[in-house]
Amino acid sequence: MPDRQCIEVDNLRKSFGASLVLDDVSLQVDRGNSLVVIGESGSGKSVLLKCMLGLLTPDSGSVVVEGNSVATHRESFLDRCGVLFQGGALFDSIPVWQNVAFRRLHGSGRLSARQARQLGEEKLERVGLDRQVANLFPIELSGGMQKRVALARAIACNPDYLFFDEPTAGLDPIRSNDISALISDVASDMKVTTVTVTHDMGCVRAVASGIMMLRQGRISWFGDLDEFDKASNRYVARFSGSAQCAIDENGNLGKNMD
Amino acid sequence: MKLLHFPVPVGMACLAIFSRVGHASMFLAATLAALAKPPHYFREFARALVSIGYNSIPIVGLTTLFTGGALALQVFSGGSRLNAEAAVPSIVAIGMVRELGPVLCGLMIAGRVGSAIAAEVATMRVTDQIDALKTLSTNPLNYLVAPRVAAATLVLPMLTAVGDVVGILGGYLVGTTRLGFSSSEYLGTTVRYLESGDIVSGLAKGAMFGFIVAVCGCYCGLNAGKGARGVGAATTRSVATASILIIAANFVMTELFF
Repeated sequence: MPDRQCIEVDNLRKSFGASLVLDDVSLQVDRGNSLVVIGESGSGKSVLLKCMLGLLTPDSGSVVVEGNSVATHRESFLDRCGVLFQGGALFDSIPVWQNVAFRRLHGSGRLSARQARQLGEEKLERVGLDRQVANLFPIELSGGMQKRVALARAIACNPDYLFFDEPTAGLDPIRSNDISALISDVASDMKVTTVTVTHDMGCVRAVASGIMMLRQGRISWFGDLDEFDKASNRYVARFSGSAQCAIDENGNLGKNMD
Repeated sequence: MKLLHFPVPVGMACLAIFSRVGHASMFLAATLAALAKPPHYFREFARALVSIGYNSIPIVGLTTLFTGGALALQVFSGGSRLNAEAAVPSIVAIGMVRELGPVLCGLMIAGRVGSAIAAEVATMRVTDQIDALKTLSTNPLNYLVAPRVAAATLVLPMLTAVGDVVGILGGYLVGTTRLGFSSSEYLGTTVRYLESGDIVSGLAKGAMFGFIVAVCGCYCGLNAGKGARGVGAATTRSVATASILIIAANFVMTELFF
């Protein structure tokens, strides 16, 4: 079913100096699916995401989207992507509405300032923010509001693919759940293919249709949410509710401690 | 036996130097291409004009005012040993216009503007804003680098002209209040011996120094290391590199205009 597999990553390797960060990573994401990549800090999740987006050049291996290599078709691929970065990555020097409508102000399919502002305000409303926020600068917003604005920017041009890098990092549990629910809602509403990097289990459960665990640059587990809860893999167990799990010497899940 | 290993670190050091020079040269070529090739971001250009040019007038004015006054005193002190006190106005004017005006302007702008550019761009890099620009189909060279380089190259000659006038004014104030020159005598001598070639060479130096400051700031910012330390290091490197290059370029251009 080649037409279903819209993102294919083959044997990806990436190192920085002597440090091997991604070691022979291969995966597929089917159209409309939501892959969540989990793993401990430094396991190579964000590097994998940036390699998939073509922001980092892998040492070897390939990323192919709908039959086209990202290495050679990066610009056209990015035109169809929305990305939410870990810290929001909003531009400090311009107001919120210009951040949201940035691509329509400066990139392809340019709109007039008035139309771009209208688009910005609509997308802000879509992510649960008041239109008055449009005139503020990113520095004037709370962390949760910045994440919402970044999400509004990511969906502003109705992308086919959404990438989220630690979308709930730095937020309290309530805000974190709000953002996770919002991402899930937006993704299903827009019928987009999403890849999310996180280690927030609430986010995993809210958005994942497939889960991949990275450990020391390698895929250590792959499955769906049901399999995830029953997995005997030691590291998956740690993520999915570890405190109640006994793990034997081989890393296999034993009986519940209580 | 250890002598046999001596070429290894030397070779490694040479390779590192060539690598850096090559990297910087490629950046320079890409910057020139971004200056020539659309899209051009005129709002960013206007913003850079104000921050580099208009906001730098006080610092340039104060620096050259005092330097012009000090130069008049020094020339008078040295000239009196040769009975050449009458040359004070012309030497102050030629010295300011050909040498001190552009060099002082360049160095002050390297400190004030070069550091600000490097810090801003480096902060954008460490907070993923540069990657965000790429994902929004915007080339950072076109959006961030080209407007700043164009603005600095255009505005530094104007600042140099301001510095020249204020420096000559400083010499005039000292000459007429402390050294016994009459107003008409001082201004007459200044104008009589100042040639258009002096002014053009000074302004050309200013343009070159502006280009150097902006390119160094952007290059160091875009290649900053991680975290606050990386931003600080990029800022320091930008000012140090730009200052050295300004001094070196000043010698080369003086030789050309000699």
